[in-house]
Amino acid sequence: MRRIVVCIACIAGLGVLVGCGGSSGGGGGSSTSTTTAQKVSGPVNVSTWGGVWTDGEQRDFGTPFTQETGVKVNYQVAGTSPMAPALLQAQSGNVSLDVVDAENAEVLRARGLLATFPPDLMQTIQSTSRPGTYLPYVLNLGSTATVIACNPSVMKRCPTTPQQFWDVKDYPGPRAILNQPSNALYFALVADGVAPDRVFPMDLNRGIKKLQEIKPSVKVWPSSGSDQQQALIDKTVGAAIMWNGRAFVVKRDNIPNLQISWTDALTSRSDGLVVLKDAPHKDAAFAYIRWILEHPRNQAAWTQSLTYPTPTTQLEQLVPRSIWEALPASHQVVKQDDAWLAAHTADIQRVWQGLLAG
Amino acid sequence: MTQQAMAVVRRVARGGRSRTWSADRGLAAGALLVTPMLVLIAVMLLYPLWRLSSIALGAPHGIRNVSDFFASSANTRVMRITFVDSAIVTVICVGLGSVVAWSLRTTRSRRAKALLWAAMVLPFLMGTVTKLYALTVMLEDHGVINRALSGIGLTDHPLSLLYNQFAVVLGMTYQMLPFAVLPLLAGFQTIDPDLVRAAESLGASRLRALGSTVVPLSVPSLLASGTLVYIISVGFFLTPVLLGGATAPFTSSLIAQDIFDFYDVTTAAVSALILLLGSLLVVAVSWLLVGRERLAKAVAA
Repeated sequence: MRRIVVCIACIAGLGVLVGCGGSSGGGGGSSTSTTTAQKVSGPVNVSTWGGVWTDGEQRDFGTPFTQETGVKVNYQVAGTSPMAPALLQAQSGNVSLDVVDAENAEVLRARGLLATFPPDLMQTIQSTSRPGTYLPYVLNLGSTATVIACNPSVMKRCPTTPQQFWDVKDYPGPRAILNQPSNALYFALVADGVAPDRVFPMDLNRGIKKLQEIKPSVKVWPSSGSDQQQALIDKTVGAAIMWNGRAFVVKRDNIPNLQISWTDALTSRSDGLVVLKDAPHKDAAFAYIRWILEHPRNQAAWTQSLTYPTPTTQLEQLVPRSIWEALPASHQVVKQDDAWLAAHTADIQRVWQGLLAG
Repeated sequence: MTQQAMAVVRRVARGGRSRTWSADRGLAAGALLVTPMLVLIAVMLLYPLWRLSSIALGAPHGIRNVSDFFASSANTRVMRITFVDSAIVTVICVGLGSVVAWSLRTTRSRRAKALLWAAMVLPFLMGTVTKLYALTVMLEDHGVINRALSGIGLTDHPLSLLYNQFAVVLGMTYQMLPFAVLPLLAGFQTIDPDLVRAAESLGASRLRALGSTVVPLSVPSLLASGTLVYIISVGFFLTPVLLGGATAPFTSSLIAQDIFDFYDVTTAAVSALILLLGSLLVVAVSWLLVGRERLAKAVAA
C-alpha cells in the first residue's frame, strides 16, 4: 500500500514539473528567418486590438512588410486590451511579444517594460513624423480622440459641449458614455466647470459625483468600438461620448446627419506602438516600425480605411479632405496626462467600479 | 462449484498463483496504467489551481487580498448578484425544465415529442453570440417586442427590457433550459407514469396525483440538475456582458474588467477563487443530499 502511495506521489510530482517546464519553454513560437536585405530574425509578434483595426494593420503594414523583407508578422489579439498580455507576460517572466499597440504606454513605462527607440530609428521618426506624434518610447498610431456625437432625429436638441451633454433638462434624451474611466471622468469634470487644461490631477470624487447625476439618463456604457456604433445605429441612444473614428463611420455608413462635436475633445499622447524591453525579436520589431515610417502611402491607406490617424507628415496630402477633417490632428484636442492616469489606476478602478457596479 | 473451481480457490487462498488467467495484473501495472490520467490531472487541474491560488493569495497583501476584496462594495454587490441571479435562473429552469421533461416522458404524440426535442436541441446549434444578439434585437428600446407593444397600443414609452437584470436572467434561462431538461429526463425515465394513473384512479386530481407520486420520486433528479445548472450559471460571461451591460454585471464581467482595463490580476484571481469555492460548496451540499451516483448520472446526461 505504501509503495502505491509513493509511486503515485512521484508521478504527480513529475507531472507538476512537466507542467511548470512546459509553460516557460513553449512561449513565442519563434522561428529564425534571416533575410539578405535586413539581417533580422523574426517573426515580429504584435499585440493588437483585433477586428477591423488589425485587419487593416495586416493588409497595410504586415503583409507588405513580409513581402519586402521576408520577416513574418504575427498579430495577436487577447481580450479587449493589447497591453494586458504584455503585463501578464512580464509578470510571469516569459515575454514573447515584441510590439504592443499600447493604449497607455505610461503604464508599461512605469513598470520598466519599454525599450527606448535606438538613435537611428529616432532620427527616422523625427524626419518623417509630425511633431507631437511620438515620444522616445512610443509612436502614435491610431490615437483616437473622444468626441460628442448626436443624432438629431432622436434628440430634440443636440448637445455640443460637455456642459450641454450633462444638461438633461434642456437637452433631453437617452445617452451613451463609453466605458473608459479616464475619458468619462474628464468629460464629467469639464461639465462640472473645470477648465480642460486643469482637469489633471483629477478630483476623482468630484468626477464620480457628476457622473452619478447623469447616470439615470445613460442607457448604455459601451466598451468596444462596435458597441459604441451600435448604440447610435439602433437608436438606443441619441447622444454619445465616443471615439471619433467610430462616430465618423456611423456618419458615413448609417446616420448621414450625425453631428460630431470636437469641443473639449480628449486624446492621448501615449497611445501607439511600443517595443518591449525584453522582446525576443527587438531588431525585427524596430525594422517593422522603420518600415511603417518609410511607407507614408501605407499609413494613409490605413488611415483612410479606419479614420484613425497615422504619424506621417504627408497625411494631409494623401487622404481625402473629409477624412482629414475627421482626424484629431485637424482639430484642437486636449491631451490627457497619461503619467497621472498610469500612476492612479487602482484609485480609478475603485471609484469606477463603485459607480457602475456598486 | 465444480471440483476444478474449488481447487483454484484453495490454491489462490494459500497465496499461490492460479493457472487460470486472472484480470488482476498486480499493483505496479495498475499504477502505470493510471499514470497518464494522473499526469493529465496534475497538469490541467492541480497546476492551474495552484497558480490561481498563488496569484490570489500572493502579492500584494497575501491572505489580506481576500478581505480587501470584500471591503469593496462593488465586489460584494456583484458577487451577491451573481449567486442570487444564478439561483433564480436555476429555480426557473428546473421548474420549467421538469414540465418539459415530464411531457417528453409521457407524451405519446410523435409530433409533440419532435417539437420539444427540437426546441431543446436547436439552441446548441447556434453560436452564443448569435443567440444573444437575437435577444438584443428583440429586447432593445426599438426592438421587436417594444415595437409590437406600441403598435398594438399597450405602451407609449418603450419598456426598458435590456441592460438590466431582467434581460440577463431571461438570456441565461433560455440558454440553461436544455441543461436542466436533459438530466431531468434521464431521471424521469426511471419513474413509472402508471403511478399517476393509479393515484388518479384512487380519486386524486391530476395535480395532486403528480404531486404525491412523481415529485417525491424526482427530488434527487431535481437537485442534481439544479446543481448542474447553478454551477454553470455562476460562471456565465457573455450573457451578463452583452445583455446586462456595465450596470448589471456578473463577477466574470468584473474579472474581465479588472484584467483588461485596470491590469489588476490579483483581484481577478481572488474573484475567480471565490466563485470556484462557492460552486464547490454547492456541489458538496448536493453530493451529501443526493448521493454521488445520481449526481454523476445527472452530469453525464
